[in-house]
Amino acid sequence: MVLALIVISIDVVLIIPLVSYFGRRKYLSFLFNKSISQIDGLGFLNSINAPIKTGKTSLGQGISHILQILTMNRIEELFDKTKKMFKTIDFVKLDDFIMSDFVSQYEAIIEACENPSIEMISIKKTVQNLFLHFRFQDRLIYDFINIRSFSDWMYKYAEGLFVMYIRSNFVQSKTKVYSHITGKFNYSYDLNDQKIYLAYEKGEFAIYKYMVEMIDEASDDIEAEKWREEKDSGAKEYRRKYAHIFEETNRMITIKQDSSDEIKKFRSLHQSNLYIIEKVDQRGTGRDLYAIIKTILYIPVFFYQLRLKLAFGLRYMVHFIRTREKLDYSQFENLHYAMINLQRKIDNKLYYIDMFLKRIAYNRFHVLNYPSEEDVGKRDPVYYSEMTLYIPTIYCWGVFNHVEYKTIYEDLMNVSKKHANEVNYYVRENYFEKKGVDKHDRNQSMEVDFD
Amino acid sequence: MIEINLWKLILINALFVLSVLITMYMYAIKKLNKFVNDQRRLNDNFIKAHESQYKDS
Repeated sequence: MVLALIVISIDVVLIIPLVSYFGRRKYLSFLFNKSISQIDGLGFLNSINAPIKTGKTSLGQGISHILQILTMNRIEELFDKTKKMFKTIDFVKLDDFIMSDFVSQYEAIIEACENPSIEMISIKKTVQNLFLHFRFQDRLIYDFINIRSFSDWMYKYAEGLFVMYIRSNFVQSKTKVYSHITGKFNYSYDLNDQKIYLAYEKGEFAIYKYMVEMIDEASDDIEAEKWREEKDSGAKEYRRKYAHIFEETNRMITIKQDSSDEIKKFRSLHQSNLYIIEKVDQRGTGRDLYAIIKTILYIPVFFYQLRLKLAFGLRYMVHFIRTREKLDYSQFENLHYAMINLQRKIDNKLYYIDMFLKRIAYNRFHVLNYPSEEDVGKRDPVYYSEMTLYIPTIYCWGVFNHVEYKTIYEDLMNVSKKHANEVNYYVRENYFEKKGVDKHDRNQSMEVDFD
Repeated sequence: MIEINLWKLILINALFVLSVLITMYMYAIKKLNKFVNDQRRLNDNFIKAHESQYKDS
């Protein structure tokens, strides 16, 4: 009876982690889907405010990844809708023609330009070629609610193909970030392009459709200071007409420590202001499962350590008999751990399993959403709505350089000729000399020059 | 009439479950290890993108 109970208890100990881990993962994936719909409803202009090192950029990256998924879904929906609308068109031929037109345009660009870019491909030209090749007639189409022209439909479709398969990049960011959705780094982003009046004057504008605009550390950027001083450069107008300019395809995420910088210029122009109140933490890392895996993998290590202890015992005895001195086991252990051995091999294995379990976990962000930027930080529940977002860890961590400005140290050290050393405690310095006060020489001032 | 010892029956059952569980764990760890190693070595876009940029810099 006792034996049966022991075996049953071992069974239970082994079963519980499996059930709890997979059950929890199911629940977390449900919460992730809920978060996607919550983030979809945040609006076009989002800002994230939080104190230093609480996970602002992590949350920004997580939201950016989810918005990328949503953008791709939107393009797919556009494809489906277009195919539904025009039942007489063979879209296999149409797609082939559009893609080959893009390729031929790009080949011409490579020959003509020194710095070719795929953004130089003209979709308007492609649509013109399309109309000539298939002999389409432009007409208006009424679907009982809206009226849109046939050429507009075709332009949107070609644009969707270009964004999805040629550019396939959905992030424009001030700082360098990686996207796990597309497997690419971001497009560069010039904050001056936001000043649309100046951009029109200069003829320089490089913000594209179907993009997530990430502006990290907006508060410590010099541009933020300038915005306050200047009169009207169009940066405010850009935000007011944001959804119109990009036809509701773009989203902007502004990340900053201090919300007061932008308030004066862009008063209540953000649709949602997220404020992180708790430091980010991980859920579903499967610590109990990891403990069992570690126990099983450490069985050979137990025998290895036993062997090591026996060897140490023998050495200790011989050494003690010879010299009457004691040996330190931790020193012996450290020495053997530094050599190539079985324990380190298994530790390496465990490290990667551990990191893998953490990689497939979820990050939990507890945030408050303020409709007005002026209220950010107020703790009265009248001003905010509370949200808990669950986002896969891989979308939040490891996709950006969390020490973006580390070169400051290197740059300073390269020019510095000064060195610091350990101080001498017993040297007494004159306080006033240290302060730089000049010694008033009384004898000299009393002297009278009689000649 | 055959006398059935209930506790013996439970013990045999539990041992069977235990053996299944241990086999499952061993198999899962082996698979997990292989999967993790494969993930590290090949087909990771993350490494590819970083490598190409590192070479360009």
